[in-house]
Formats: sequence, structure tokens, C-alpha cells
Amino acid sequence: MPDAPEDDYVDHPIRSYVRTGGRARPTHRLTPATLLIGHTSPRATSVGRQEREVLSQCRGVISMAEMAAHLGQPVSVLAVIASDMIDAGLIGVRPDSDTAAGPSRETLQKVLHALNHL
Amino acid sequence: MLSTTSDGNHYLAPTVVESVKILVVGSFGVGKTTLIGSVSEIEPLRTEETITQASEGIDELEATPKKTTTTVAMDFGRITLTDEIALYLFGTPGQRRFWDLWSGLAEGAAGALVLVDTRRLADSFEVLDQLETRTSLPFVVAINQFPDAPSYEPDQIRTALDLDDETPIVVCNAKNRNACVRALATLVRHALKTR
Ligand SMILES: Nc1nc2c(ncn2[C@@H]2O[C@H](COP(=O)(O)OP(=O)(O)OP(=O)(O)O)[C@@H](O)[C@H]2O)c(=O)[nH]1
Ligand SMILES: [Mg+2]
Repeated sequence: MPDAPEDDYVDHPIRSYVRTGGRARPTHRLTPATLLIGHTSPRATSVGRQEREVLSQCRGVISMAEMAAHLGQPVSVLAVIASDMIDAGLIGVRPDSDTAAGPSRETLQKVLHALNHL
Repeated sequence: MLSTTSDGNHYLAPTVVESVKILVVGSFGVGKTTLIGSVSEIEPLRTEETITQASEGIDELEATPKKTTTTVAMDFGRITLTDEIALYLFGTPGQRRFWDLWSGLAEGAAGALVLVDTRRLADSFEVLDQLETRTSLPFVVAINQFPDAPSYEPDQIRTALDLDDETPIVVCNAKNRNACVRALATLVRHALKTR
């Protein structure tokens, strides 16, 4: 890939900046296909409205793209909020979801097998 | 506004630990959203990003370079393929000016399904060009056969689109689930060959 990962989804930095209280880019690689998961007992912290909205969508395993669509926000904006929430221990990610290296051969074989039997 | 769905499909199964994505690219109106809807287990969803970029010319009042703001929508769907793996299909317009937006999507993707309308073959040149020059993604060309479209032999399409001999070409019908699933399987088989 010619572009560095930090260029992803930050194409309207000004709007993101305003909506996310000053932070313009996420520290985690959170793509539309990244799977988020709520912790069963999130650390007790007082959270703001945006964080509460995210938590309300995190009662199971859900992709960034789905959450963004449900919340009516661009993925780029959600990525900044969710990234901070991961750092704060409020939500987690499935580490094997949408890795930068792409799916393994073994995973692709499973995908093909499943498609052939749909 | 929260859309609280009670259809039980809001979340993936808790056993899902891995996601794989495929890009569905093609020029406007070629059938991307239709294809995604045909195979997705959820109603296709949409997110939007705003891109601001310099455009041609000078703003006459401000005497500064003009900027245009474009909203780019991305439609997507998902299929839970095994207890552990969910497949995501992302539909994006593949044109050059949207590259910033879909470059992030391309990273880590299993491959791209390029939908082509034979009535407007030239519209696909730019999309194919972007894929070939800016990514190393394996891709398959899927002819979305509209009823009133001329039908060509795959070899004619290969020549017209200047495709490698290795690039699979399949005839598809974006409205038909089985045809779409077969096209996706062809892509994954091709991806396995190229690595
Ligand atoms: N008959 C027929 N019509 C189709 C087929 N695929 C798409 N259409 C129609 O073509 C139109 C455009 O399809 P979409 O799926 O919206 O295309 P798209 O690529 O998502 O379009 P944009 O997102 O606007 O770029 C719709 O009216 C579809 O109903 C097909 O395989 N057969
Ligand atoms: Mg569409």
C-alpha cells in the first residue's frame, strides 16, 4: 500500500476535530470492518454523551461500520471516539478483525468453503 | 438518535472473532448496492464521509482557490460465514477523486469485485486503473448483465478492458443471490491463487 495507515479516514480533520474535543486522529487502527466488543463490566467512569452512545451500541460484537451507521456518524469520527474508549478500557476490539496484513490463507480457505456451501 | 433494532441481527454472534472484507467497486449505478443487498444478512447500511478538496479555479469573492465539499457514501452488508468469521462487503465508487476514502478500505481486503455495465464499459477504466496502479488487491471483473445490455463474450470484454489473462471475468446478475455468491467465491479462489 502506497499510503501510510495514519492517512486513513481522517479526510475531514476539521469536523472530526470539533466533534471529538480536539483530537483529530485515532491511535488505534480502527477500520470499518474492525469488530468492537463491549466489556461485560466496563470500568466505572463517568462518561460523556458520545461515549454513552457508543456503549449503547456495544452490548455485543459489532463492526465499526455498523455502529457508525446506527449512530449516524462518519466512521472517521467514530474511530477517534472509540480509540480513546479502548485506551480507557471501556470497550475492546477483536484483534483478528480486518488486520492490515489481510486474511491468512487458512481463513480464505474457510471463507471459500463457506461461500461454496451457502 | 439510536436505532435500536430488536430483530436479533444487530450484533454478530459472540463467537465471531475474525472479519474479512471484500470491496465491491464500480462506476455509478452499476449495481453495487443491489449486489450487496442480494447477499447480505442485514439490510444494507450506509455511512457517509465528507471530503474537502481543492477544485479548479479561483473563488471570485475571496480570491482564494476554490474548495469543494463532497459527501461520499459507502454502502455495506455482512454475511456470517462460520461461527468465527464474518464477511463484510463494502460498496464504494472507485473513481480517482474518492481514492483517499477507499485507500483505507483497500488495506487488508481479501480482494475487490469490480462490477461492470457493458453499456458503459469506458466508465470502468478509471476504477480498474486505480485498482491496478494503487493497490495490489486481487480482483475479479463481474459483468452485471442488465436486460437491455449488449452481451459480449468474456474475451471481448478482456480486450476492451485490457485485462490480464489471469483476471477472472464472470457474468453476474446483481439481483440474483446465487450469482453474486458465485462471483464472490471466484474472487476468493483467485485471491488464494495469487498468494
Ligand atoms: N435489471 C437489473 N437491474 C439492476 C441490476 N443491478 C442493478 N440494477 C438496477 O440498477 C440501478 C442501480 O443499481 P445500484 O445497486 O443502486 O447501483 P450502485 O452501483 O449502488 O449505484 P451508486 O451507489 O449510485 O453508484 C437500480 O435501479 C437497480 O435496481 C441487475 O442486475 N439487473
Ligand atoms: Mg450504491
